[in-house]
Amino acid sequence: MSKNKKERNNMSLTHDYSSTLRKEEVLVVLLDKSHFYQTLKEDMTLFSEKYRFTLHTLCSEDDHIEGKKSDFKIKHLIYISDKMDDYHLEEKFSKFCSHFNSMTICFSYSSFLSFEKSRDKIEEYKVKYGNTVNFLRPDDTSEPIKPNHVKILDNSVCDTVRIKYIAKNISKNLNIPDGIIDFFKKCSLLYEEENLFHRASSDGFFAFKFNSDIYITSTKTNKINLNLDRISAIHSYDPKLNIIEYSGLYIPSSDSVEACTIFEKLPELTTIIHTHASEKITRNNSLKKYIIAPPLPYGERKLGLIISENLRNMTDHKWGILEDHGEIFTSNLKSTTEAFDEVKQNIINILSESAKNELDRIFNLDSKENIKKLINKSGLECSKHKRDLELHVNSPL
Amino acid sequence: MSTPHCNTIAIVRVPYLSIYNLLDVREEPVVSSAAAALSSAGQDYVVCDYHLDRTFNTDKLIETCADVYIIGIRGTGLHWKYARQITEILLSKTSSKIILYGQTGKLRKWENPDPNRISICIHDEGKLLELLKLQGSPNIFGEGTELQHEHYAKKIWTNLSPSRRQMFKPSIETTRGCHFGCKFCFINQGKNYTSRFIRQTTESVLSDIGHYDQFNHHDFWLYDSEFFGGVEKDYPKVDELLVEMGKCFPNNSYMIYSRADTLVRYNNFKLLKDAGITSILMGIESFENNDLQSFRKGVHNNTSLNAINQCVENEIFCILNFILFNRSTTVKSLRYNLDTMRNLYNRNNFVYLGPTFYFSYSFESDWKGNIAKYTLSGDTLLYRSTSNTTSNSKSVAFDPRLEPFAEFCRVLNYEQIKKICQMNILKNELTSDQEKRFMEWSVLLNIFVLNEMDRALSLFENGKLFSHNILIAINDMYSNFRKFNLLFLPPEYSYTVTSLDEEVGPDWNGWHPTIYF
Repeated sequence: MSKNKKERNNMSLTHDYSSTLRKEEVLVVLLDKSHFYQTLKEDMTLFSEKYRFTLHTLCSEDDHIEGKKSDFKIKHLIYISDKMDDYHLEEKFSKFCSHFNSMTICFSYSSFLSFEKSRDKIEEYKVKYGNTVNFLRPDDTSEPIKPNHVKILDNSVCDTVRIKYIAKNISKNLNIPDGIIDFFKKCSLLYEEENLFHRASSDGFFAFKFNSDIYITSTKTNKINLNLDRISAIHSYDPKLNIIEYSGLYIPSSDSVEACTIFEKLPELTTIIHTHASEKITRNNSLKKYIIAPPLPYGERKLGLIISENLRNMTDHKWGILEDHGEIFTSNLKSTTEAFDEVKQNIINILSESAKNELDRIFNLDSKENIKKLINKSGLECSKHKRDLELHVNSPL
Repeated sequence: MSTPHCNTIAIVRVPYLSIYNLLDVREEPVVSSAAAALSSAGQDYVVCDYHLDRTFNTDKLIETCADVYIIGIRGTGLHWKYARQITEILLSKTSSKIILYGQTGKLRKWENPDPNRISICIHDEGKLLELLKLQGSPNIFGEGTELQHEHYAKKIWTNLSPSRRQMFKPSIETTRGCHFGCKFCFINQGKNYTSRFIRQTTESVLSDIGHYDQFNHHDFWLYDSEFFGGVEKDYPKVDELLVEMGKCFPNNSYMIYSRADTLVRYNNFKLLKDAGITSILMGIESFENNDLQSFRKGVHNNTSLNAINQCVENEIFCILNFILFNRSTTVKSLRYNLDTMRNLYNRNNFVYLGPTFYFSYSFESDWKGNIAKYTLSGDTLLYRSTSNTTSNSKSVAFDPRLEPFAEFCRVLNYEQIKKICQMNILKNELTSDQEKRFMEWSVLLNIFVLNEMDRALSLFENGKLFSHNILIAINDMYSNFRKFNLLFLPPEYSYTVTSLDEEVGPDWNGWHPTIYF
């Protein structure tokens, strides 16, 4: 799935996030058929009030779906099921697609093995339904394995209203210094070349602090072929009121609270690049030693505090993995060119370590299964000229 | 030297491979072309081939009592080293004339110990006959001689064991010389031929192939320095040759030697396949562009990768040649080469990438010698391999600080090659199922070797591999090797065949010194 992916957005952009969505513009429908999540409905109700969206809960697929005839700009379904092998699944998905702009599907699995077995099917669905459907990866490893409660809650915000802070626009006009524009352009190219995203090319953010302003990509911004209008400048963040004041045409990144917190706690920092290189870095088991933050809700101050505390203690590198989320790369350098180069080098180093670890895994000759795979891959069985495998050994040139 | 028309001529092919290496059973084109030239002048000859006939020794050489010994010389590897030793023996034990013949450019600075008895002749049949004062129409390479190479091995055929006869491959030239001036290569560092690059006529090549074909030999090595050549406008001649080869000898297969860039420039893989080209020995030298620049190779690594990928896609076997330890090698370039190689093996049909034994240990010969700067520590056995490919230099061409990793590679490579040789010889004794497993072993051995190199390089990169603790890494390698062998080979063949304890004489690669005289 990740191969050959280029530009990819996970949601049809029914809203460009130039303004905050109103509660009556956003519908989240929760259909939980699993009964694993005892307090999810209550917690999501609280979330809907706190983050301003309308929540409907259903008990079955046959229930009347309110969203169909309404004026909601965003209609999002969260479907939770313990039946991945449901024969009517595709039929249901088709029905959902006609009602909703987007869906989050949360399956539970009896064991890790059954999850592994289902992966091909999930990949097939991803191809078929494209960006409309988001399959939440199970991360709660107690059987049955399933996506955790907090992750589902967060998704109700992430795929809809996006931000957890209160956005206050100071001005729509923004003059960005040339050096910073150049920095963002280079970040965009790097993001594309190295495929630094998983679900959508709007994942993550680029940020550079200049004087007291933080220049940052706005939420839901496609980072490939970056539209420079989607760079905003954050002037201030008030943690007590959870208000971010900004200038620019679009609302700053949904991770702005963490970004502001990190810049506040590490005043020497100039640069943060946040990426979601899920397969290569975030979920790469061999890179777990680089985790600097446990799974925590996004867009909240607590995550920013933990990241900054761990970054402060680092001596040898200035980056880390946010478990089950993404990774951040930072620099203290004031020159945009030098800061970008430093971050780029760190990204390339870790990607190279990741690639090496991946090769180590593929070339693991202790595993019979791997050996079988390698033999198949080698083409030995199909080789038409086996006599040429009779190895020649002669003197070197 | 004034050499009269002589009664007895012996053509000598010097030894150059260790005794355990029985896989390479080829004639030497320098010798077979000299043989054809003598025959064309009506001159008989005897053949003394240390390489093909492993029963041959120096006593037998002296017993030939020839008036003239023509010692065929190739510019690579240990040829000159042994040619010189045989020359010294002939000087002391006979009163015969000696002609050092072939790729003799390297000898331009050699001090001839007895100019009255020893002559040097470049690889040109006309000049050879002239030197021998033989009348006849010499075979001028490139001018359409009917037969350029003579199957001289048939004269000593009964001395070859049945298994070696079975492995015999004719080896003929379609070109001589090279347009390119790579700094590491001997070809254009002195005069070896009458012209920088000569292409044999299609008729002559076909005639040579037909000559061997009648003896039922169908697997050929086209032993050129460069099959395609650097002049694109001559490629129609290559087309013509390949078309005729495919048409006249549809059941033959050939291995050719080529640079990556000329192969990519030629870019007609279908024709190559149709002609029967099944393997290409490609001089990659390094994937690191800095290395390539310092060699003046004139090739970018993208071109090399392109050529390799095209070969694999067209199911043509590659035999990739490297100079891993060279004048500009760094830890970083080693890592780059290794990672690139590992990435190549992470592709489908990697069987066509061929063996890794020209990658796992190879070094640039030091021709000038900067002993003060480039001398090895002496704490390892590495010097035994590096100090013997050239005559006088005690130093190395690469940064001697790389010695611990280079020593690891040398031992790994030694075990790799010796085990391959052993198993290829033994494979006739295997059941069909065992043979299948053996083939799997031989393919995955490449990955095993790359993994081991990666393990050692990681240690070296992290400052944990030194000359004083290298035995730990090497013993781990031997242990891993045995485990790997056990996965595929019958238990009785799973042992490793080299040991640091064995008596290793001063031979190429520090390998078994059993090149007997």
